[in-house]
Amino acid sequence: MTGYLTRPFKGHELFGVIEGQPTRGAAASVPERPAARAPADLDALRTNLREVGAAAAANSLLDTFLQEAPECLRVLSGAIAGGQANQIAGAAHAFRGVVAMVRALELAELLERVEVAAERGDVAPAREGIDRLQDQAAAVMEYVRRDRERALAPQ
Amino acid sequence: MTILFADDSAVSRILVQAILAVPGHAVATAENGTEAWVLWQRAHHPVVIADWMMPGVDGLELCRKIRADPRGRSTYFILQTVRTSGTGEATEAGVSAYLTKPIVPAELLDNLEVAARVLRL
Repeated sequence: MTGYLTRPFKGHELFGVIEGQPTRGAAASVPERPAARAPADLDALRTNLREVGAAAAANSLLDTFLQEAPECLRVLSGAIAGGQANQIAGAAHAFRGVVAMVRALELAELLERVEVAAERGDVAPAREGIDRLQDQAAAVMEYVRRDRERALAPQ
Repeated sequence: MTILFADDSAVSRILVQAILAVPGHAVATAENGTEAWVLWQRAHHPVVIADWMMPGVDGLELCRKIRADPRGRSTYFILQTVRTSGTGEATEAGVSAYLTKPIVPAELLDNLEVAARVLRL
């Protein structure tokens, strides 16, 4: 066997196998989830950035996250209070994209459930889950804030 | 390569700009599809990376607009999304490749190597 592809495969993976070169994506380490899952897997984010020589971007990315996430949460909370399914779906989707960047998987999963239900016109999961969603979002933001404080603290 | 990147998330724009700067790509960024369309009409970037869901002109509509322009038929268009379904609609719109959020930096650079090869064909 010269090579293999796991389905579904992507274009760059197919090129890599044909040319006999492992793709960077395939070679990139995928850090395992921590046993007790942190609200955001910042180690995985940093590892992924370090692998391509972009480690320095982590701090500005996290600072921007701390500015962007509260606004996303505010918009989503407002949409849920308003009860319009399409607005809830859009706000949950936008927030999900932002939290995914810091590997906040549990929050991303909560947002996905709210988004998928709202796309069907069902706003009940959003209304019933708003407290948990806000708590988890607060936990993620606090976790990132502490990470940044540790990084900025004098050694 | 000259790359146009469109995403309404500032976190996403910072991440992608930082990754693309490593191999020396020139990146123009847009905060939404409308702005991206204006930028593309001026510079005809050979590679476009766009988020699917954006206010106003979304990623799919941006792709359709670029494909409808004779100068955009060979543009390598990468659609990024947190969605895991609906790729058939994206393919019909003319998308060249997909990236699933969270963006894995190495996967993004691999995609751009493919883009460079395809554009040389």
